[in-house]
Amino acid sequence: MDVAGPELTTFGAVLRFAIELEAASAAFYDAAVHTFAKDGPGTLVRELAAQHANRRHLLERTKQMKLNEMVLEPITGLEGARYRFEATPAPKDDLLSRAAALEAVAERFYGDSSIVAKALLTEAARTFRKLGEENGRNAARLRAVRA
Amino acid sequence: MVRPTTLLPEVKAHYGDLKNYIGGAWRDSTATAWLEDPNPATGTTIARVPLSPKEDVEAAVDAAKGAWEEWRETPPVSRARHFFTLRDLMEQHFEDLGRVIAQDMGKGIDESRGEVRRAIENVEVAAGIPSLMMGYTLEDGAAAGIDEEVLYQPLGVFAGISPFNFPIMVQCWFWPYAVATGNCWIAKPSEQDPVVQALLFDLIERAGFPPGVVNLVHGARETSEAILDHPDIKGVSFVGSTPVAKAVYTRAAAHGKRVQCGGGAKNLLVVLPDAKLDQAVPNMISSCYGTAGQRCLAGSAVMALGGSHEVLRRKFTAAASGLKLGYGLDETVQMGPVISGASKQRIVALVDRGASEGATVALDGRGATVPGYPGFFVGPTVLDDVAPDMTVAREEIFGPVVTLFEADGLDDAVDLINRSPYGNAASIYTSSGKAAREFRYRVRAGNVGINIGVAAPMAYFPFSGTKDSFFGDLHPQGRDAIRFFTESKVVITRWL
Repeated sequence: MDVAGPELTTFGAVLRFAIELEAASAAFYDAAVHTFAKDGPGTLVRELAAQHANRRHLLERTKQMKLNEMVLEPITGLEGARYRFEATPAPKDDLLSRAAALEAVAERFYGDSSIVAKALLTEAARTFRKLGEENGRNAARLRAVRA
Repeated sequence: MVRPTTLLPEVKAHYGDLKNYIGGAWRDSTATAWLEDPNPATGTTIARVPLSPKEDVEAAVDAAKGAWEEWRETPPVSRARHFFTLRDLMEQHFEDLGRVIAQDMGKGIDESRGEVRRAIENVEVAAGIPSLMMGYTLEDGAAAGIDEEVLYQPLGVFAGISPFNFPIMVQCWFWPYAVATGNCWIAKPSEQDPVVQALLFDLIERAGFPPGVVNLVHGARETSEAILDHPDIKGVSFVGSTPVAKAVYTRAAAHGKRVQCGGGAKNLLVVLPDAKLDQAVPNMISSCYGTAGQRCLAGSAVMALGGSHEVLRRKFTAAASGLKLGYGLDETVQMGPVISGASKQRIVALVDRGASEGATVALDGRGATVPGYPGFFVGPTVLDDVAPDMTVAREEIFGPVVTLFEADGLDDAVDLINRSPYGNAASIYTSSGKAAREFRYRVRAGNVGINIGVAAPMAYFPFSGTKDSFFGDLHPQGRDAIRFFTESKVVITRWL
């Protein structure tokens, strides 16, 4: 990810970034699975690894099936720099805070995207909104586990 | 500094010499002349298109005729199953189909995906043929004890001649309905970007349509004329420019065929002072510059009413100037090239003419270039201070050029639309239900948008059009298509 972040100028570019974000998140949690025992944080990390893999499939379906060429307007107002994320594997002490940060970026991205897409592609906007809300819940759970 | 573009890989760099698909087999054309098919973004040739002669059309008609009796006797529910299979195959190959359109036609990958989506929707609707094709009956309809009913029956062989701007979708406005109703089909796609049809026919073959039911013949004028003149083709579906649509309609009708011909357009977007411009302008931009303005539903003129011209001109021009021009396979690109060098020259010449007739070039895309891509790019262009009698106000430009008008009230807008020889589409942007209702009631245009700049009917509605934008009576898609491809047979029954 470069300094400016992704260029989010079209519906396809937004979805491509979302899919990349989910793939990176799934890989992050997959790598973290072996860091923890099967209970405690490990349970949550496993759950999130599966959840992000499923979300990726949902977004691929959205990209293919929830577009309508009648209202494919240029996307404006999504500044890529707001959505830079860090998903490289982290040492155990930093892992949960990095995960929470990753979820926070995703929550921000989907929240912003749902607003931008709302007037264009209502079905996609609904998907973004739900994903962002899920990220918010994930972040809260990660913070609770850390505490 | 933006992230470097990651181009999607092209499906293939070159698709070779295209073949016809006749009688369930890929066949070399007997053509002696071929066209080079360039990628409009790069200018490099990606396929060679045979200009199939009359003999190739005759072979396709023979194959279709040979398949017809058995196909029409195949129950509608069995015919429908081929469409379910095809639909699944198109979903599996969705991305490839879109990428080929972007590569061959030039439009952006988002728009290309949107076009494939539209094509699939038509296949999905045609899969409902057991319901769509039902006739109707009235007990005692003729007299007491005498019932009357209508059956819809297929006619035989139909053909479709389609334009370059939607290389997969427009054929799908026609053939799924023709074939689902029990007819056989010959597709003649545009010679300018036919590659995606070759991919589609691969899928059609895999969907198990019997040999001869769906056929593909590449070519240009001579091929089309052979279709129009052939005595065993019962009807023709066509979309293209108005002069050609009129010629096709006349010639095919003279040979006793059913005809539906979509023509050109000059679609006006009307903006009232109470329009929500922050939402309306992006929608207008999409209408005017989507597919580089090469849509028959593209907004090509914008009329601001009631003193709103200045603010609209400023916002519209600013938004247009911000569009990212480039290769359609770059996912961040918002507008691609036009179809050919000849098209670019024609568009630039029309802008020159507009300027010489007194229009102000508020945004000039004539000199636009894209580093690394020496193709046929014209940037977003806005002509202001346009009078209704100027050439650019009357003629279809079919490129990313928008003319801005100023007028006092809704009557002026309705008058301009109704005086136009074209009648494809018209849109109004307003918060007033009363104004919107009056607009849709009075305008003579086939597709009307209210706060929608691309009033493109979904597959289950007819793609309408009127005046010089459509010749015929039954339109593509929806119930109109079912009626176009079938004959109504009335049966009156009395049991003695």
